[in-house]
Amino acid sequence: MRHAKKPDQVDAIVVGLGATGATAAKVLSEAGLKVVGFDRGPWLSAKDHYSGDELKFVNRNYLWPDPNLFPRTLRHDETSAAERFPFSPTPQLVGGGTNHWAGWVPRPRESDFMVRSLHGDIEGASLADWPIRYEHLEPYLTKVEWEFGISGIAGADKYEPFRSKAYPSEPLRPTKFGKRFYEACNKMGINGFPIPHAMVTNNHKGRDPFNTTSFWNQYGDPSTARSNTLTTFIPEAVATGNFELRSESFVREITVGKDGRATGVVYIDPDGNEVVQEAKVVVLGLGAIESARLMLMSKSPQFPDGLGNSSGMVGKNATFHEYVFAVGLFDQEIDDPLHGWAGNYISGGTFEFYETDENRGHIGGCLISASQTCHPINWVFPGRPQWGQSLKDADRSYFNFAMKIGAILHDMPVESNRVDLDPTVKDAWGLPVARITHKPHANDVAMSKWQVDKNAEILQVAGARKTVPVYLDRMTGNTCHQHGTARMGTDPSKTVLNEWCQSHDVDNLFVVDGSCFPTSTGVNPTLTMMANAWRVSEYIADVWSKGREEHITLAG
Amino acid sequence: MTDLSLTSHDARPPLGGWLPGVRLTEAQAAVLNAAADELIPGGEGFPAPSEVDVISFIARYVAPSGVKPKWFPFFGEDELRVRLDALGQGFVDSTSAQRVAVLEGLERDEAEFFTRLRDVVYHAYYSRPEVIRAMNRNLTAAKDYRNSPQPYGYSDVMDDWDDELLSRVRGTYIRTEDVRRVEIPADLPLTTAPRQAQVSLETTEPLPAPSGG
Repeated sequence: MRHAKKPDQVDAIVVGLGATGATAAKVLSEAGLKVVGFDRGPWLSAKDHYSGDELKFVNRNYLWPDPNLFPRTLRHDETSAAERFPFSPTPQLVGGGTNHWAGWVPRPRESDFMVRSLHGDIEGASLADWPIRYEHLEPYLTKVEWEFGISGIAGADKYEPFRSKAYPSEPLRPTKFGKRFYEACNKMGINGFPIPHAMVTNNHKGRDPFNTTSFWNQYGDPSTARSNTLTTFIPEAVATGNFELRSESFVREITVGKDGRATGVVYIDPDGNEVVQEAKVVVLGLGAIESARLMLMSKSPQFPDGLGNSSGMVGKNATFHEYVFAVGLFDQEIDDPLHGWAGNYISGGTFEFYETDENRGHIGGCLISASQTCHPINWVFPGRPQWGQSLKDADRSYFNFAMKIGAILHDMPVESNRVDLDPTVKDAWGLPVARITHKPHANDVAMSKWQVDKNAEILQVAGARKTVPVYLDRMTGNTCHQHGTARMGTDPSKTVLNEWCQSHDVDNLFVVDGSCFPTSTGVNPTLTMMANAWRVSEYIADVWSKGREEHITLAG
Repeated sequence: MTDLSLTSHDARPPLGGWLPGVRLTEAQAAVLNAAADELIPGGEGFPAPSEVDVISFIARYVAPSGVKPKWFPFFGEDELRVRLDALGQGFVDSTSAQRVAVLEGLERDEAEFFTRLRDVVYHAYYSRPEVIRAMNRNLTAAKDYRNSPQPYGYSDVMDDWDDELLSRVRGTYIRTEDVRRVEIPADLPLTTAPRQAQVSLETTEPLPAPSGG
């Protein structure tokens, strides 16, 4: 094996440059630390690579990890053999999931941080409180909203907890679908409001304003309107002069010294060389699947079960937020069409069903949101004819006469739902791939049923002539949300990280992505993840790297 | 050394397909056109697939002989030719009802091939400029639909907020420094039964009511 010349030690390594890794890179480098950031994928120019090309982005999955090079496997119970499946295909390139996301960025609720205190233990689930509360995150939610660029109306969501500042940008204009949703909400006494979007509608920080199309969701946005760390935090980190980005560099192991502290990483560079990079601190932001995999692959005499895994909890309690929905079909003889055609554009949502109501037969709840039904050519609704005259008739009748109301399923943590190393399947580097084992908790199934039925009811009030429910069947990872595989908490025997997302076992290892979430929340998680990554990075720069230690004590 | 032929080489499909595209024989093209016309019948102001040259689109997206068909439409040149030859002139000369029956047989017995054929025909047809113009002309709901959404978007055709709607969703909020916080007990009493998950938060003023317009 050929080895390249060993580069000099740096202050910090950030692995994975998506939503959270890029946040860490920005905050650490702006604080003056010398940072090297790694991403397995390329560093693309959005202007040159991105467009509204449906075949390129939707059919050929331009932004997805190549399933031949980076396979994952999935099984739905303990005894089945796991099969290859592109589970939760978050883009693996600089910018990560913010390259393809819809960018719905609602704030979490106070109840999300104390699910176990509020509900106790429910059978088959491992509910847990977070070691922080909403108030610890609020200043950072505001920082991300302003630095990253979020549009919305402060206060329109009447169930939102306190906030210190309004949004930097006005909300996206409503589609006709959105207006129908608001009308139905008003009739039903539901608090409908424009969901905050990671999209600017003004020249915030010199960016392009939104051009009123949703061909950024699953596509790459060629403009700078959509908030993508590739075009925001990454260039800001580079501008400090303290940040070096190494793309197409695959980190395969975190190394540890005799003292059990992390010394750095081993990675494979774009020329195929194995390189060792040393640092004082290693920060992981690969997403909850790949961060867990990297920790599990980093075995050493001190950590035979994987780095930072003395609790045995790395990879466990994985949650994934399946997207479930109801479709409403309108009648073109009677109803106004729902044009303009802007793609899979969402403009309204509500938190009306978020908090637990025991009359519903399940605990927790989720954000729901109204949108169009996907892409112009890959346009589909359940039960649509497949070909021939009946398909042509359906296309003519329902194109732009259909909308859906979806829910981000607030799935319960279950210890046996987990990410581990597949015993047989290997990636292009010969390393074991992530195997996902997931079986929904009974509460997930009940919540999906109740919420999708409620969504169908709203569609009917909105004027849909026919509604089609799509409930939770099995977890497929269709939201690309990943959490829980390295929970934070106060007990080192039951959790992987402390309240600063710092490994209980390895004091210079931090995990800033969704791995740290003790419970999944019922909101799109990226805003929460980025705010948390900012909070942790500030702690690393201001406290930890100065040799100090602080702890959060919750009032009791 | 890691084998780079596994990683960076050939990791992305060529944009716009493979040029110059697979050149089907006249007989093969006739079969493909006949199948496409049954999969998506024209009429009522819409052209048939054979009238808008779906063939040249498909020819560019079918992986040429020797290239692994690892991207949509997951069709290789060799397989496509064999399939079209098997259907042959007999398929072209059949009545529409007979052709539909043959396709139904393929859908049942050769589901994978059928699905790939259907998907690529569908994509070819609905991406043709003539078809997009027919949509603009014939469907009220598609009058402003356009071939490429970027970079111009739909700002010119999207409604703006109207005052009534905007006032309904426009809110106010309480700044953090104006909120009187309550300490949240770290160990709230645990219950075994689910209960209302409302966290009380006292404020100097009541939280804003949903604004009524």
